[in-house]
Amino acid sequence: MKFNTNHNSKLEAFYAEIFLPLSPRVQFRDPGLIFADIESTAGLLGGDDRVLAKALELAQRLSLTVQDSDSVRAAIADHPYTAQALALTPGAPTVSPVGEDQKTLSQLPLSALLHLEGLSPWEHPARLQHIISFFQTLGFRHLDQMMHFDLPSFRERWGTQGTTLWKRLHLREDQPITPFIPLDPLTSYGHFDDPVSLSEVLMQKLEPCLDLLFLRLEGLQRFATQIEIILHCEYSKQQHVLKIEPVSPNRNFSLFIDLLENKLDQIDLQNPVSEFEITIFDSPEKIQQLDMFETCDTGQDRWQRLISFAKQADVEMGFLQPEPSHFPERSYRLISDWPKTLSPEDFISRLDDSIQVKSVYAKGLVKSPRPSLILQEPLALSPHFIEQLKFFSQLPSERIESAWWEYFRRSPKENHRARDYYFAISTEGQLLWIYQDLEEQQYYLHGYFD
Amino acid sequence: MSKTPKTEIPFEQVPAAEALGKNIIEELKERMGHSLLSLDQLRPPEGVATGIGVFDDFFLWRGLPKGDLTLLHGKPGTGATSLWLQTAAQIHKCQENGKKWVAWVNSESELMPGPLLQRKIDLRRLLVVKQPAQASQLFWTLQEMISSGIFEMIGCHWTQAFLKNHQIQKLKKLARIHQVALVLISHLKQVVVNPLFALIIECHREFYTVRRALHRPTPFTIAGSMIHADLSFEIQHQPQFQTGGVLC
Repeated sequence: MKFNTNHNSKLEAFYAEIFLPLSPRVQFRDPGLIFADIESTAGLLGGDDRVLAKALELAQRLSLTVQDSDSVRAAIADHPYTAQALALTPGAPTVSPVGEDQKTLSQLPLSALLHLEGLSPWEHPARLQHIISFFQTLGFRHLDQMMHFDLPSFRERWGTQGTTLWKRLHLREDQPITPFIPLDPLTSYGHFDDPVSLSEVLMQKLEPCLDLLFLRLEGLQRFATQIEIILHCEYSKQQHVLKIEPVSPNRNFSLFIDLLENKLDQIDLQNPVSEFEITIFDSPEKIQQLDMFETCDTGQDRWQRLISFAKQADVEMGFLQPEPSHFPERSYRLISDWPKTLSPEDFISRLDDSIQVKSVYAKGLVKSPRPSLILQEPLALSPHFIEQLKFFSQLPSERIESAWWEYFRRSPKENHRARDYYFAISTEGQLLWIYQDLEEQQYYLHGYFD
Repeated sequence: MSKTPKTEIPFEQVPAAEALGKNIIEELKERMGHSLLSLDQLRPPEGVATGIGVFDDFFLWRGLPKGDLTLLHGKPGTGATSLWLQTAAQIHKCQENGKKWVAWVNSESELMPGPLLQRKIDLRRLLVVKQPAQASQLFWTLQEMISSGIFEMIGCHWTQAFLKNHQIQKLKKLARIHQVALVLISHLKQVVVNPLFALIIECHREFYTVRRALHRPTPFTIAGSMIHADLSFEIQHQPQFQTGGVLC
């Protein structure tokens, strides 16, 4: 079965991508005709009626995006030319039952011959108009009256076109729809007749272009990792390059629009914008297998949205991920994905009757007292301040130092020097975490048991 | 005209109101008008339980006020963060609550995951924000976080240079709309009893003083040991201290 969607606007061939969810075999024909072979996919998508409704919905969205007020029409039939004739003939049925194309065609008026094209259009439409007039003078009204003539009659009178017409009337012409291979880049371009300095007006022009690109993304079943928008200004060849990059690739149109609005608010549009270019960097859609026992969390989208917002505003946020480092300041980092819990237990492997236990390095650190607040930059303490502190013990609570090989490969930024940690109380009752650098003998404040 | 004194009678206390039927209730409503109070008006404002019995029993909110501002005041290392962490752990513990996310905005000092795990705080339900570089960023971030509607409680260090009074006013309004408990932690030398905060607690590690709380007599002081375990005791009873450690 094939269906046909007619569109009278100036559509590009790559818009066929939008219909890929219906079938991998999609073909575009000028002017604005899209054919899809749904023979093998209709069952998966819930039957002819559902496919038709989905096709109309997609076409309607495309139609709205390109600001075309013409109505969108679609029909399903066994052959592309029958589908086209049904879709474009007013009053014709939209679905032709399987194997009944000829019966459906026979009820159509003579004018439907003009649309009996499918993937290969009529070479001489004027000659076809002459054929229609000829049959009308004979008093014919519907196509079934033409079907009684045999092939030689058509060939003798109208040559090759007559033969083609007879074959299509008797469904003898095969028009296979080939699989669509998307090659066009996800880019868009626009210009303003009058340069624009208002972000709202700019958004009005950018939004439909982005909407169309997102429709294509949906059709291609891909996610956007980054959107780059270059705004070309009217004077001095100035450019604004806006890069919108959410935390995780997605296809959430409203999120990208919100991020873009935020970006636009931050730029100065005194030099008006005359042209713009949009490029979408895409990635394959990731299908995640959810844990069966994980409760469905509707808040996930919202926090991803929040993290994306923050990233655009250069505010770093995320979850605390414990890291396997014995240095406290390097024992965690912020990540935007779910954090994984470090397992401090020993690794026990069992082979036949033997058991091997591998002790995890520094597993005791997990249970050692750590301050709730840590200073990323330890604060050097004066000897006077140290004298006023009340230390819990003369001996350090723990000593942290790197392995000898770490000294050779350490970067100058990283402090791998050995330290002795102490607990102390200040005169104001603050419980502090202090260490002494064993090389320079200097005391530092490293955290608070707040 | 002589004024008749208005008496506020809770709806439940009207004698056998249910038995009298709907018509009588309607009649009573007409006669008594605004003097009648609805159930919603009688219910105390919502709060986030801290899990500390003394606090939860004392406050009208049964914890930290939800949809309002709380100020925890105290020098770093005096226990303000402990109180916040205790409440966060309580939120994560409460499984029947669907919205059980909390957020924390770091300052110069940052949260460490170790103590959080020890308190059984779910790191996957705690969003941490790195210290914003500018004041406007902090205000913007807090606004976005509150209006996202996913957090039950948000904690943030507050210095007056970073959040002005009018900004706090706006945050209070947002917190009320989205029913978020916004907890600001101040390290200023003197406690500021700002009426914008529904609850103000002064932390001294050894004791905690409630400076301001709705419909409750203040100041009210409780011992620090009732809020957090005596950490110094724990530290001294570690194995390494038992062998050679001496309190000096």
